[in-house]
Amino acid sequence: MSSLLEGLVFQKRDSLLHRLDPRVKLAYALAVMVMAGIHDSLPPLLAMLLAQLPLAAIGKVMRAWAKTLRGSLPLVLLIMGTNLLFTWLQGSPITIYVVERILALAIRFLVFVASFSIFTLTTSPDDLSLALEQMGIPYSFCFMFRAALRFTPVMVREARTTMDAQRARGLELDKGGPIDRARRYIPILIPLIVNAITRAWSMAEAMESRAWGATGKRTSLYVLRLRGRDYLALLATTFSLIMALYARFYFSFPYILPYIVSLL
Amino acid sequence: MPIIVEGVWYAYPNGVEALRGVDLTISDGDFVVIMGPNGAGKTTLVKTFNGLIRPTRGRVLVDGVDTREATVAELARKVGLVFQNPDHQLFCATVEEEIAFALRNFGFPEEEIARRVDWALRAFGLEEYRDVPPLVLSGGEKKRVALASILVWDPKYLVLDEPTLGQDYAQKEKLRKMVEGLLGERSVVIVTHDIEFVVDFRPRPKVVLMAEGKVLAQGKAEELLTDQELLSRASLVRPQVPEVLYRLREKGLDVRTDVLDPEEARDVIISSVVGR
Repeated sequence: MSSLLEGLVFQKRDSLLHRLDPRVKLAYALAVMVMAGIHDSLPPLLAMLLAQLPLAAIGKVMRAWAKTLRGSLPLVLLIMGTNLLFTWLQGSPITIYVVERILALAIRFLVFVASFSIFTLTTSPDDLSLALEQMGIPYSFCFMFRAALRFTPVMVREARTTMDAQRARGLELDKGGPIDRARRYIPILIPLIVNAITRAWSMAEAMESRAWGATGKRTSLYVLRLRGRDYLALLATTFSLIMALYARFYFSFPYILPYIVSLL
Repeated sequence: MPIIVEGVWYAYPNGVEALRGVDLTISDGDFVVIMGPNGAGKTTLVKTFNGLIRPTRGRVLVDGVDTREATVAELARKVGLVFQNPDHQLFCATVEEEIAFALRNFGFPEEEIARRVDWALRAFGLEEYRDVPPLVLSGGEKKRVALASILVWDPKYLVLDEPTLGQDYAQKEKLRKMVEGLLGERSVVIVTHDIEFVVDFRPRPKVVLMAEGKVLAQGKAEELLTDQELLSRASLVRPQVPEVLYRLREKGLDVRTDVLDPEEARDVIISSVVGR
């Protein structure tokens, strides 16, 4: 789980993806989400997943990206497991076609993670906040977003310390059944939440004492402007989106799993 | 039986080497103070005592048990570790429950819990706060609740991480009296930067100076805390008493400088002046 979070943190590099306008990258991540969302068969989803691979390479974030995908494997297994369980509970037979559909769902989730992680790995929180701001989203919301990102690692560290402090008082975190185990996290969650609220209050006070929100109209030192490469990237994204939509409505994909099995 | 730290190395998952070959023994009834700059590995070291951190190399034996072969809960029964910030642990609806928390985890019988909680509330002057949520207490009171919630199970080894942080002089004084009262029956280990706090202890603790994940020196407070070279390597400021003696020496007065006690310093100065 922590490696999944780690893979979502911005990595400073010098690459084409890092230099792209953050708005374009956001559009890309959202477009992939739509593409993966409308398709439910394995071949196109697999193709989308593979298409992320060269992008991760271009962005020079291959290692962190792969780590994110690896970190999301437990969730993928959970998705597959619950789907299989409920299919079985409904009394439907579990055929190879059902398995392929479930696999497609899991791959769809991986596509979401893969494209979003490329976005977050190559876009600094500051750039992202700037993008949101210059897209007309109120500054307080952008700031909230940025602060949330900024304080995630702090919260993770705090959670670890709290766990240590409670374990030092004899709390066993990995003992007992799932409900019992969830209950054992109460001594962790309460201090964590209380501290988060306390920190938010003191941060608000610190910000107000530095005249936060004194002027309604803010200016920016950096103004985002689309360049040639941004238009190209936007064009490619739009093209892929149209292709995906076209494929969804005018093309039906075959099941590939039976074919693969027959080959073995 | 002591706590024995043998050639312990520890690297955090992010690659930072916090401990680089530490050897240390905490014997029964010992009183040890661990000092050193931020990032020296002091907190990491004390976390190896109850198994919160398992060494990547070397081993830690608590009364003969390798910490890798026991759970944190089992080790915590012997090693009570009080964390720096009470806000990381206080979560119960009342001070009473907070203090009973560990006892319930360790499976003490209910009447024993009631008896021990009563003792702890009295010992730490918290009786009036029995039914108060710990979160509304002041900083110093929270520290006392945290300390009470550990001492209530009477651990054989008591470890305090930065107990004086954010405490005023009167609170420090109280804390020192309390720790002095605990000495003898238990081993007490204190992690701190606060050199004057250490110097005022009677009896004086054994001092362990750390820097960059290693033990620089260990020995008597009088020797280590008056040694300018060691102190600067451990990023500590010389205590006031030896500081005065050093300055007198600079002015040509022939005095010993390995003195921490004000009365002793007075006698040293007088005998050096009168003796001449």
